[in-house]
Amino acid sequence: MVSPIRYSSRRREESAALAEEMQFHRDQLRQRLTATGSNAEREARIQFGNSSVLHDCVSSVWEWPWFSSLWKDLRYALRTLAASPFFTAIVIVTLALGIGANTAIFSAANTIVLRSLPVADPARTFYLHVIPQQPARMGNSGNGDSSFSYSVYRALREQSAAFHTVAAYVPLGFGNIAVRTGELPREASANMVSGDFFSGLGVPLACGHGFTARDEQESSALAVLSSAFAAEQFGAPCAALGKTVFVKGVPFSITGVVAPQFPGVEPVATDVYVPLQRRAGFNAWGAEVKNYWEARAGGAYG
Amino acid sequence: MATASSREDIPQGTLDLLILKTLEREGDLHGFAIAERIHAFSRSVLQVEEGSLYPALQRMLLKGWVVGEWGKTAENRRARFYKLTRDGRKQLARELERYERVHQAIGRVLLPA
Repeated sequence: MVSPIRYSSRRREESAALAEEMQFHRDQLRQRLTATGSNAEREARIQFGNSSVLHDCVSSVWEWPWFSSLWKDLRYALRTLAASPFFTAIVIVTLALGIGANTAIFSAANTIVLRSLPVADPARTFYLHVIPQQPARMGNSGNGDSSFSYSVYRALREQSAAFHTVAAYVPLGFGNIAVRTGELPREASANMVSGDFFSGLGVPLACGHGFTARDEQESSALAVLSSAFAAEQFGAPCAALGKTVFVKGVPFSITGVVAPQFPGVEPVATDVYVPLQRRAGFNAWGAEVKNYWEARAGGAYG
Repeated sequence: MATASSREDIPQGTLDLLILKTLEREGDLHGFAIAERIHAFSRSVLQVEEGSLYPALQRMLLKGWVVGEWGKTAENRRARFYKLTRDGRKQLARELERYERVHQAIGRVLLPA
């Protein structure tokens, strides 16, 4: 049988060919009849239902009833809709709103709930919480029930029976802080992270390497950038390697760039990662209290 | 031309047989000529109408029993000429055999006693 795709063009061709053939047939018939003496009945026989005969002939042979009736129904539906434009407009707007809203909500839910963080083993990666509420002297903490003091963090890490990796991150400000790569400073989101942050979680890197436990202990002046931030500041992501970024005025040497699909572990994307620092000014969330961090770190180390 | 009363309807299913046989006997013919020949050979008893002839020809084209080629008539008019194919000849033999069988069977039923 004829494939539906070529159906309508074949059908049109055959229609045209048949029309010509039938016209020829009628002309010949008329010739014969005039030769032998025609009458009204013969003339009627020639003229009767010419177009309907042609139509029936074509459709009886080129039978694909469900297909051609589907097309007819579709055209009828469109004609009816076009006849009442106001109603049609309202329907279209309603559908657009519904579909748009659903798409937006799904996109949000998709990234937050359904798609996991692109780390090595997302099913076994968790944020740690404290129950029931924020411990004492944890004011100035942006994340009330999931912030721990450094000593607690170290203790958790030593208990390796429960966790394969305990990584820590400390946002350097509630929002963006001042960073600078060239002449002009700009704002960016920065975290201090533990030495096992990149290796332990299995964060994909685009180029370079992450930190080590030693970097954390020594509070090395190294930095890892996000792909987007590196590309923005240096042209290409990997062009950032070996360059310097100034975080709160302190120079850090860039040793790695994170792959684009990893947005960091905060609700907003993280641009700059440095190891846990013990300098003045590098307090959790940029707390104003002097020696806030140092006191904590001193306590743990002492 | 025979009067209307002596014209008979072509029995169901025999139109194909008549067309195929006519083409076998006469060679390449256009639609009108096929109808004319059938009318002539049947001594003006069988009249093939346009509305039956062309659907039958289309069906036979699709089944591959005939091929149609556009050409010029003696009066230099454009027409489609139909020709029997090998499959068409096989089909003709089949149809003839079937017709013979049915014809004999009817004959036996109608024979006296």
